[in-house]
Parts: sequence; structure tokens; C-alpha cells
Amino acid sequence: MTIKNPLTGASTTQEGLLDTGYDGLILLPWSTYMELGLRKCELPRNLWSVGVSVTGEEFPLRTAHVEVEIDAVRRLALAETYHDNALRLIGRGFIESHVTILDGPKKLLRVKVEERQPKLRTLAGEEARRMRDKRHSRLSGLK
Amino acid sequence: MKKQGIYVKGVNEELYREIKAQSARLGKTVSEVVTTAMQDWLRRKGSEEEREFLENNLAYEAMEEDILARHQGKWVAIEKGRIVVVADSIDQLKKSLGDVDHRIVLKVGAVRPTKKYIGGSSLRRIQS
Repeated sequence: MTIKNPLTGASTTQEGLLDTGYDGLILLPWSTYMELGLRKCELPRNLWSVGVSVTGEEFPLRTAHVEVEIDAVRRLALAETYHDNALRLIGRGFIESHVTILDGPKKLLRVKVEERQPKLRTLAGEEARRMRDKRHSRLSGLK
Repeated sequence: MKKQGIYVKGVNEELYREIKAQSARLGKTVSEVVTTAMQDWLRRKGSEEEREFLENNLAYEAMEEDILARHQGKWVAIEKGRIVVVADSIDQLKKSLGDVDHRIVLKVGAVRPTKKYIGGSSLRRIQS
């Protein structure tokens, strides 16, 4: 995935790990957050979410606006981090708003481009219409 | 701490000679002096960022009700403790931003803080 600072254009392309156990959109390593200058594009601290660790410890999640690109999908999102974090995660919040395909053998998550969806729906609709017409013509032939 | 030799391009030659002479006078190596200078710079930079971070957040907290009432749905940027631009999109903010170490950017009314569980499946995988 490519993460970009939407104001300065600074970007980095690195592999992200899909984690359905993380509720947020994107979790970045602390070092990446700082390198991209995301402090200059940050939410006020009273709007940061609170992270809860496996042991129940709670800590603030520093949050900034980023532009995320995964496959051909590009969108604005909120990226979070906490001090010394080294994980780069794609969370449930991100995949909930996209059609995704989990390519098991390749261990890859593919995000479907939204523009293609109406086309697929149209094709499916046309197929259904063709089947319906065929059935109708067969039934009218029986009469 | 791991130490390594580095080559820095574009260093002012006179400045380097002066550093070398002063270091020798103090019985230090150039490497020791430069390392101290870099540490000082980082410390100063860190406190500047911290100062701007606090300034911006305290300003936002003081103006929050007013911002929510007047700029709902708009993008707002706060620098050095004051609102510098209100715009319809994040792209429009770019034109009016200054050179700062910290900035607050938000789409008013669009974000609500929550509790987020971290350390789900991926962490378990890394630990196994």
C-alpha cells in the first residue's frame, strides 16, 4: 500500500498486514508517521481514539489524515499510531467500505475498484433479463 | 550505541575547519562535537514541535464549540494557535498553509473518538 501525506505529497510504499482484529482504518509504525510529517496534518488530541492492547492497557492513538492507495483504490483515510509502534495494519474500518478479495494462495488482499461494480451489476442484470426473455419465449411457444 | 562513519555532502569548508580547530583545542574529536551538535538540534526541534502541538491543541479546545457551530462539514486548519484557513476540501487547504512543525487539520463534525482494539490476529501471528 502507498501512504501519502495529502498536504505535502510525501509518500511511502510498503506492505501492510490485513488485521480484522483491529477496528481502525490504517495503523502506521511510529517512524513512518513521523517520516511522512503527519504531525502537520493531525487531528486535535481530543478527537484521537483510544487503543486497547491485548492486555487491556489503554493508550491514545495519534491520528492524522492520509491518502491511501491499495491496488487501484485511492482514498482519504485516518491513519493512527502510538509511541514505538512498529505494526503496519489495514484494519476492519478500511475493508468495511470496500469490496475485497482475499487471495489465499498468494496471501494477498485485493481491493476491487468501485467503478467496476456497476458494470458487473449491469452484466448480471443483462444475463438475468436474457434468461427471463428465453423463458418467456419458451412458454409462449407452448401456448 | 552503534557508531558508523558517514559522508555528508555540501558542508561549508570554512565552518568545518573552524569546528576541527575548536574541537582540537578542547581535546575532542570532530565526531564528538558533531554528534553533540546533532543531539542539541534534535532536542531543540523536539521542544519546538511540542510547543506548537500544545499551542494548537489548547487553541482548538478553547474554540471547539465555536468551530462546531460555525464550520460544520468544512475543513479547518489550525497553525500556531489560530485558524488559518476554512475550506470545502483538503486540497483547498494547501494554498494557505505556512511552514510549521505542527498543524491541526480536521473535517468538522466528521470524526468521533472511539475505543479501538489493537493486537488482534496479526499480533498473534507475529508472536507465534
